[in-house]
Amino acid sequence: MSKRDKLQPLQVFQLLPGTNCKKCGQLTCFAFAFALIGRENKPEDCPDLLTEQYKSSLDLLNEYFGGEVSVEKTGLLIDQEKCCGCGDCVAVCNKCQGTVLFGSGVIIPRNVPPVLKVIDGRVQVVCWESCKRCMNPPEYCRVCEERCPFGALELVR
Amino acid sequence: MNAGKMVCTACSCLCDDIEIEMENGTITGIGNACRKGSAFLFGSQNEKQRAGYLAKGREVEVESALDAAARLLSGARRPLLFGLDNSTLEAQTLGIELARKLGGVLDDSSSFCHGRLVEDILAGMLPTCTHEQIHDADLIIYWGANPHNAQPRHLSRFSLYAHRKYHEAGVKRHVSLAVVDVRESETAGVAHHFFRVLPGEDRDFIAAVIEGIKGKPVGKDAAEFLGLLEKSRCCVIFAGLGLTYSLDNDFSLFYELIGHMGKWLKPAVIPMGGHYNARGFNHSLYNATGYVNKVSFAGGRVAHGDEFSLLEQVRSRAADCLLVVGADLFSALPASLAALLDGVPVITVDPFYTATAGASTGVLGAALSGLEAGGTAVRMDGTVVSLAPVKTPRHLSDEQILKRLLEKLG
Repeated sequence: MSKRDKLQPLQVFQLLPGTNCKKCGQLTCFAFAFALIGRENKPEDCPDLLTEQYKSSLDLLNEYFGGEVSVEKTGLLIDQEKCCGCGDCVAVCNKCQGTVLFGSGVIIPRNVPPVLKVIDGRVQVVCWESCKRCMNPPEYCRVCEERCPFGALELVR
Repeated sequence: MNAGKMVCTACSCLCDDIEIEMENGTITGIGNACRKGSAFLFGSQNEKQRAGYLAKGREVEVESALDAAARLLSGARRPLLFGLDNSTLEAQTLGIELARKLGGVLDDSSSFCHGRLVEDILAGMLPTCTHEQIHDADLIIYWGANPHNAQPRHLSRFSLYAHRKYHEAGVKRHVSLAVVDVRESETAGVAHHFFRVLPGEDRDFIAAVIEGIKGKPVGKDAAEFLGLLEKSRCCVIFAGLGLTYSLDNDFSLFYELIGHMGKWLKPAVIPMGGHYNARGFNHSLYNATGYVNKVSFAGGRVAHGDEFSLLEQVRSRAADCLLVVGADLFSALPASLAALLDGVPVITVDPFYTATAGASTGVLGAALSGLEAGGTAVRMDGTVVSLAPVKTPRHLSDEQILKRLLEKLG
């Protein structure tokens, strides 16, 4: 999904029954919407969505959040079908591997191995520990997702 | 086993950082290559896709195929050599020599692509630069080009993201990316500025910008584009086929714009060639004849003109034998034109069994440049790149094939 057609939490919430029945394991339907985006839950976890009334919502949600994906460690989803291996994400990630001293205009390089690498024509995570999200305290950088021209990368956390 | 780094010859970027992993002579892993390059390199291992040595549809020995091809060429009165864009500089030199010896016509895809731009660059009429000099630029423009499809690694390896001054952080942007295109392409999606023009109306847009330079009131888009140019000190324009086709090879207005820009900034134009050594062919032929394409060697003299372009040669049924080197003519030509080649003997030199190879009288399978055969090539920006093979070839290289053909023709 590209940047243009990415579903936002409120849009996901509008597709849900809104009964807050807690049968999915989440406290509210809004929490379930976030859990869907984070791939912690699947659309089928909501029993109401399986009824005829919500069939169209279920189809749409399955289109976005269905399928087997694992984001346990990185939170970075890579759509291998959409990725063309242009390496834009690799280049911008490498450029961002520095700590900016705000106000001074100085960028201190981190000197860490690259997070991403294009292997066999598709981008793959090779060293997630180098990502700024793994720093202490973490920096919630999204540059790889933002600069992907095909919308192949999605950070779900 | 890591076989080291090689140059990818899938497109005109000629990326020289491709990591290859091999086991027992088979590629098992490719690092850094884009999807296009990976598919190209992995595809070279599919024997069903590779061309062998054929004569009249039958598989023959190399010598027999070469003999048959030489017989066809020597018996032709008006042979046409087309292609060589996917061959090394060394093979191109031999191709030119072969055309000269046969007294035939020589052309390549640049006659309907970037030939005019490259010719003017070589003649010194149009300013250009290399990818290394892009670091001086503060404005990069892709005009009628979508590198994310044609040359996927262009932004990350040579232009915006490779720029020394590019950084995501900070308030001031040191280098900007602008795209002029008829649709919001992938490149336009990540560009800082996007100017949409209607199909075929690039000329009007250029005219509007020139009017703006002269101080006349212009539309919003042209004014914004002019504002970008006025703020810039060094601008590189990557000219795609969209610009060439929209201007219909009449670049006078574009050159006028470049001339005006030259008054306050340093402009440079780089044509976004498609084939890996298309620009190399233009260089080789220009050095040999003074023209970049559409050349005839009939009667021992060099002649140049539109009548010697592939399209005119096919349309007028002028050629009585075709030697196609590294090009898929039958896939590229419209069906109405391809039908005119019915009955004309075609000899194809190609690493892959293409549609053209399928319709050819003789097929000479070649080694894949960069992977199986070495040599030199010219990147889209005019830089010479050395190709070092990493795999043992099972076929002759196109250079060897052309050399053998020359020998057989005496």
